[in-house]
Amino acid sequence: MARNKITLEQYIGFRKKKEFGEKRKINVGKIVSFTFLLLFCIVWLSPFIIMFFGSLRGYSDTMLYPKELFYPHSGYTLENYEMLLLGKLPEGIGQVNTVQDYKIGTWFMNSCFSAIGGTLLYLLVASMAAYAFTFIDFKYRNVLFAIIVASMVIPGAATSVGNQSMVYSMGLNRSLLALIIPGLGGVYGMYLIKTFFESIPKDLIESAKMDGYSNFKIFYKIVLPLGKTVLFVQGLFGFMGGWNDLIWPQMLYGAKDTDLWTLQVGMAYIINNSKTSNLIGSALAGGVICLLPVLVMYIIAQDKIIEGMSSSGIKG
Amino acid sequence: MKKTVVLEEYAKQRSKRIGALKKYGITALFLLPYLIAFIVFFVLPLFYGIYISLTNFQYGKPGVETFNSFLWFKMIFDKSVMPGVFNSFWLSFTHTLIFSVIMVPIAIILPLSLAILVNQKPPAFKLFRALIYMPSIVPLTAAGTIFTLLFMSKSQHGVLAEFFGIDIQWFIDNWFSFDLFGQEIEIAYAWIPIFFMCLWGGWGGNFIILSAGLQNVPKHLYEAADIDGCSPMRKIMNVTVPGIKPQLVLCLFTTILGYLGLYGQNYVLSSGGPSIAAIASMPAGGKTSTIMYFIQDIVANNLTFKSSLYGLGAAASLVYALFAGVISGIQMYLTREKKTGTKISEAYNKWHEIR
Amino acid sequence: MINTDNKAVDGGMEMPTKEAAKILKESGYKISNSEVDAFVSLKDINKIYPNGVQAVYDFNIDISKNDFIVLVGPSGCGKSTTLRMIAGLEDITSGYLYIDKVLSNYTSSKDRDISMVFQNYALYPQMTVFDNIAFPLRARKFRRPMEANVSKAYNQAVDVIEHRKEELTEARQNAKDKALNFGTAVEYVATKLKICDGAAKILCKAKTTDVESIRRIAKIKIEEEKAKLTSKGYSIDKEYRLTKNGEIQYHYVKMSNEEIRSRVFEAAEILDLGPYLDRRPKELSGGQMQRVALGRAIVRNAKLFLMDEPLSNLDAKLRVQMRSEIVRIHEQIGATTIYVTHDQTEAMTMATKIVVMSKGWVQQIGTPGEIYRNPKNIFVATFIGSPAMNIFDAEYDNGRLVFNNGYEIPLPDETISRHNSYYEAKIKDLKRMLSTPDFKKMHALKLLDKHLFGGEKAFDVSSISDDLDEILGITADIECASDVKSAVELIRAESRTDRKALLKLREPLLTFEKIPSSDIGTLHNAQVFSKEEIVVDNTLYYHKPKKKKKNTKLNINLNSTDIEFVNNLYEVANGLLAKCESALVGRHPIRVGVRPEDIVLNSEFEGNKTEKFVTTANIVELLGSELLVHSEFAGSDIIAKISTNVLIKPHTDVELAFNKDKLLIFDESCGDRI
Repeated sequence: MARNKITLEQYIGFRKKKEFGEKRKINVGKIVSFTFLLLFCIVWLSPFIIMFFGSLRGYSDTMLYPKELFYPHSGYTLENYEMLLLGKLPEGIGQVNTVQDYKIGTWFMNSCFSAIGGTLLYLLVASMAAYAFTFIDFKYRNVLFAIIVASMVIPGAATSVGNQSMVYSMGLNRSLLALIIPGLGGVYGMYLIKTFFESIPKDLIESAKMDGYSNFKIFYKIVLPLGKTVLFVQGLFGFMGGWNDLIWPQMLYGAKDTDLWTLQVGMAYIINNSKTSNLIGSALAGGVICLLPVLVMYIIAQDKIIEGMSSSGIKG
Repeated sequence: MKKTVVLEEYAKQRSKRIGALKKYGITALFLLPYLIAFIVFFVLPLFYGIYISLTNFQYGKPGVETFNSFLWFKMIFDKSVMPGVFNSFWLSFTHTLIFSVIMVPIAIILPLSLAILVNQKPPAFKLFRALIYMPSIVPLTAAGTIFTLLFMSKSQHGVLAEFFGIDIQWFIDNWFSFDLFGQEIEIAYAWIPIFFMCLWGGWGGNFIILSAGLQNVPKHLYEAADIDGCSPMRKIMNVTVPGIKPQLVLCLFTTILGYLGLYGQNYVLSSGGPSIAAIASMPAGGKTSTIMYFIQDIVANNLTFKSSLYGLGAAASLVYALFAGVISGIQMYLTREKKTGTKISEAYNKWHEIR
Repeated sequence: MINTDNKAVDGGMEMPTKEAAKILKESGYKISNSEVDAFVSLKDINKIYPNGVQAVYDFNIDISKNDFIVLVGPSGCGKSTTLRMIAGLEDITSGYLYIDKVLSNYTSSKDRDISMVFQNYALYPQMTVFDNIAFPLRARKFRRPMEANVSKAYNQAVDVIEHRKEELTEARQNAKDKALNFGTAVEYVATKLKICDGAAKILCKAKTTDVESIRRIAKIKIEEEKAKLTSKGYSIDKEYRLTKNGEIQYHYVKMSNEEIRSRVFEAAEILDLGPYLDRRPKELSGGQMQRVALGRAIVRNAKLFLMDEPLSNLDAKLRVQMRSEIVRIHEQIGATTIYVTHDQTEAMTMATKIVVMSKGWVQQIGTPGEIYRNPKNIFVATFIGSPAMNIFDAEYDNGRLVFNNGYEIPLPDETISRHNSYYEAKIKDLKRMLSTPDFKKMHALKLLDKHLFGGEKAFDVSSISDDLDEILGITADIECASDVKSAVELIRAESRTDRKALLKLREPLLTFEKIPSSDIGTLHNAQVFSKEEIVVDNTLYYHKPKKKKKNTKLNINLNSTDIEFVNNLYEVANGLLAKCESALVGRHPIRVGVRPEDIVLNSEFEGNKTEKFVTTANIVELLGSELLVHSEFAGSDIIAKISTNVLIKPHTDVELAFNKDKLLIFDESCGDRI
């Protein structure tokens, strides 16, 4: 049995402290902030709960017993999910044409492809570029990097319309690749990775070169393992960005290309439909499906995400 | 006569050549994928966008366009060319600005005060921090479903209507109107759901950054201030605020830029509507339209606009980008390294001389 | 803010509580103690962290004016905690702290009139050097005589125009010249003519230098002010100070800009910071930042200077330079200083008085010379001095020291008698200690814990019966006897018992709190100095101290009785007693300490020396005037410091001897010097 052991002196000290009447200070600030934060969190997290329970409420309950939010009148049901995933309409709803357009499985996969594939590819390309900018000495290196960094001032809106036509000209406008490839030129992630690479001691790279390592070997044996935290954090943000993006997929694919839609575009469509046909339950179910991957990821890697966010603020 | 070389020199030259080649080869291998993507999908589109904005370019039919002598820009800046477009663009612009002015202070002060609370390190403060950030990772559409449910009208059994008996057609009714430069601006109730959605999930990043900033203020500075005889107010002004100034500036400008680009919230919740009768047939002719909505309406959401007004979308995005760029420029100017003067040391020298 | 006008009342008086409250209020909460005559005095200061870890035990010291006290010790010895308690950054658990004869335990740091230099400088990053130094002056209000400002300014102005017209024209000319950039023209004129800013303002604003017109305005203004002040009952003396009933009136005001300026410039002059006044901290080198931190400390002329390892972030060369700088500044301004360091060289070179600390205990207080020559125990002996003192394990046998290679040193009679009386006193002390109730309880605990933490969950009462008897016997004559008895009876009521019942018995035993700190100190040293190797800090390079592990969280509820102890003071005291008793009868191990310079070349040294011995010089280091000879003797490495008159080659034999007068003998079990 692992037991905490202390020295007798420490115990005597504790007794003495008690005798001096010095109690643990009750920190008013802590209590106030705890209460306030608790209340705040309850209020702020209630939408999640409403969404979750709302998605488990059947169509007829939504219409007839709208006040029974958390305990639906006729019990929990998965009919909203069935409607979305299987196209199965609940009884009594009548014919709703739009439901047949819902291809939530396809959209989900498209989103996964866009978010995961895009992130991985970007990490590879950006970290290679960051490596070149940090460890390989070539002409105009600093000038080139300065130009790239300076371009961060130009907002994405300036290039998006041009990009849209560019992608069309390249014949990618009917391809999922268009979700991924234009993002590869992103500056911010590369800049952050480079900043991290700069903190790797140059001696390490030089001594590896002396040992006969090639640049590729140094890249994946030394630099990538050392930078795995920053790459991981960058990957997480990349994934979330890709998953949550609405504007770019909307620009790429029109109303008819439903097979190419991402979950966000599809969800926007579902919400629009639900507002008119009282199918809010299905929208909520879609919201849950849409939220689930990011939420799971956040719960797993919450500390890393917060850490990454904080350090980006500290380094500025 | 045959050319002769000293073998040693030749070897040296050759290895130099090969070394250089090898080096550039490696550089290219590492750098080119990124560089090509950067040029093709950033630099070229930038100029392509400018080109499009200057021509009667039609989406999907490149190659037949001609220069149209700044027609699109004239539409934006000159009311007489096409009053509907002019009105809807500047209305969207005004909406965006007003909403930003309301939202930005909230999106700084609310997270800052929460960060101060969390920084008191109450029990489970790490959990609180994680929970407070959580709404910010939620995809817009998922959040949109919730707020749609909350703000649906009474006949559709929205939560607010059912539980609090608020009988307002949130996405249809008008709230109030006011006069701006002789033009009547009508404010729709639909802004309220949008506001609440932004309030719910629009500042988590600021919160994390500010609380990290607060934690990063060195503790010994507070102790030094104690010994120097500072009042609590002075401590805040001289230690805390300067300590988190970089974070404050960062948050301020990212938030400003974020709200200038407001699009998802109003698209998902109100679809830019309710529409304004006078400009209903124009892009973004609604009471909750924003700049980004205007652009997006032309280049993505409406096929009619996309085929007829594509260049206007490009022009509007350039105008918007210029505006946003100026704001980032101000940010860079504010965060620049300040140069060290020599005023005080010169004064010291004078003082020294006089003595 | 404490009202400094009032005189502190003597805190030694006895009085009813109500009256005490009244007197305190009248005196502005200033209490002095007539018995305290030192400038700063710490009486029985204790610091215990909430988890029971005691960082400082019974710290006592009197510090007189202009002293330079250095607290020195390895990291974690409580020196910084002590300093922070004096600074008011850390609560004092018990004891009395007097600063300038005023009880200051609970005054806030800003009211203690101290200034402090932090280890990492604690400069405000957004401020220039000037603003950093000026900060303490701007942050608080100062007690100044009330002045008739308008009269002063006008009188000075008129005076200048009347008598120093040339100077004025020159100054105004210079001030206009843009090359002479002195803040503002007014400030320049004021400094140049040595007049107040108000007068300079008048002179700069006045369009004419016509004496009459200015004099006329001056007269009106002065009369105006005089009328206003007299209506309030003030009168003005020659130096424009306000008096009421013949007494000069004081008030608390922000320091004027001219005073701040001259004070900061003076500090900058002392510290050579003139060229850097515009810079921000991050544009400065470590040494410069250190000087700014010093400047911020000296600018206010505080009563007491505190320095918390100020040099530890500097490199070796800079550290030596700053060391002498600090000593110079101390001599120049003469402020009382308390300085914390873990570098014994700093302590030896800077201090007028050194306090050597270890694990919360003050081991010795004295001047550098005293501490070097007469260390009180083995810790002080090895901690102070570089290279460190050589320590040998030897045996004491009837007045002789026998080393384990057979080498013997006969001891003089005086030392032998000191040896005997030391052990006799020690035995007497330990016996007294062991007879106290608290130690009896610990004895009983020892018997009980053997079973309790043996790993079993239930016990046959018969198997622990003997120990229960013994516990009863031990505790028979102390105050908790009845509680113990009832608990034992409860256990005996059944044939088998569980841990719960034993823990119940533990309850009355865990009530010790009357153990004097000095006793704990003795036993503590016995545990620490006897077995553990004493780590001597490398004096040339600082190890950057790791993040302070304050309040390491215990998952243990100290209020419960189910806590296992890693040691038992009863056992320690008992063991010590046994050792001391055996020391009086026969051979016993002992430690011998010799400073490197007291190991001498047999041929060179003429004084009172021991028999020569021959060893091989393994390494010889030349230090200029001296040689450091590393070799081996009696199984341990020794270092001898020998003057360079004789050349010693490495790997040759040398004949060495000890300087007999300087041999130090330490008790083996508790490290005290005999």
